[in-house]
Amino acid sequence: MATVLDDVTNGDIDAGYIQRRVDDWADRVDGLFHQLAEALPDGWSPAPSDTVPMHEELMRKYDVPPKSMPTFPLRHQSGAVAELVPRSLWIIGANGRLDLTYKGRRYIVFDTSDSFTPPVWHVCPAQDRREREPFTPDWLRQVLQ
Amino acid sequence: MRELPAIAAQYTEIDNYIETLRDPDADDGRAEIIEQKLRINDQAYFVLAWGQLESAIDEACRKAIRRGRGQRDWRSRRSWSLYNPDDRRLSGLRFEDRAALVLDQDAEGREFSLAMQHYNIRNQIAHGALLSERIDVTAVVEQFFVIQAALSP
Repeated sequence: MATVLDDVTNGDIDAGYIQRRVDDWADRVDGLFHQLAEALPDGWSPAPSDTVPMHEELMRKYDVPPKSMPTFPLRHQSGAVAELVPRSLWIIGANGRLDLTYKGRRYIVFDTSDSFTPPVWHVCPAQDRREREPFTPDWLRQVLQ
Repeated sequence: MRELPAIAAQYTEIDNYIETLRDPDADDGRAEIIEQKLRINDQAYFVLAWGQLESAIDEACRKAIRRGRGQRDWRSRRSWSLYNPDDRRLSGLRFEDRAALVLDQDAEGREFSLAMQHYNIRNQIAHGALLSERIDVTAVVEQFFVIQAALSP
């Protein structure tokens, strides 16, 4: 099983591998957003999505073109907003990271799986990174309610 | 590794502070400056944390050498006699050999290879070539504790 640490310390990779990693990250993020969208608490709905550019160093190094990653903004009928934004795929210690902001609080969402395996999402408050727990639709519902 | 939780906590504090400097309305240049600050902070604390793990590996290595040198049977003792556990540099043993003395290279948990990968990252940073990737220092510190738990003096 490979990890981001393998990618960063292994010179034996090529553009095709990096492109597959990018595509896999996009699929995992898309899958997460769909999973969450189907289980939002009452009063919440997805807002029009924005995009953030993704062109990390390993992509530049292997001439892999930039990619636009969708964000996942949510709006409550009261006007409250929350947003989940992809931050980085290649982060040593995780297999990709997103940030969730809501009511001035920031949460770090990260995949603890190995490369090219089904995602295992976890979340922690940015203020206390050791308080890690599974990131599930139930977790999001509790935070948003 | 008793300083490791304090190092991880201080890393989080500084990382969160740098995040507060983000301005959603600022241009890409400003955003890149913030990303660079975050990356440098990651790497500074990674190297600090690494020092704690390396010290733990060295200490386990000294114990292993002392235990080996204390064996009654000379045939078991003789190879350990090549190393002086009281020497600051452990008789010039390079890191890979020190790690191999106290971590099973064939273990399923792959702690040895994990330690070597982190060592390579540490060397790259400490020798002046900063990484362009982020490091989740909290996760890495957890990995360091896993490696420490696998040490076999």
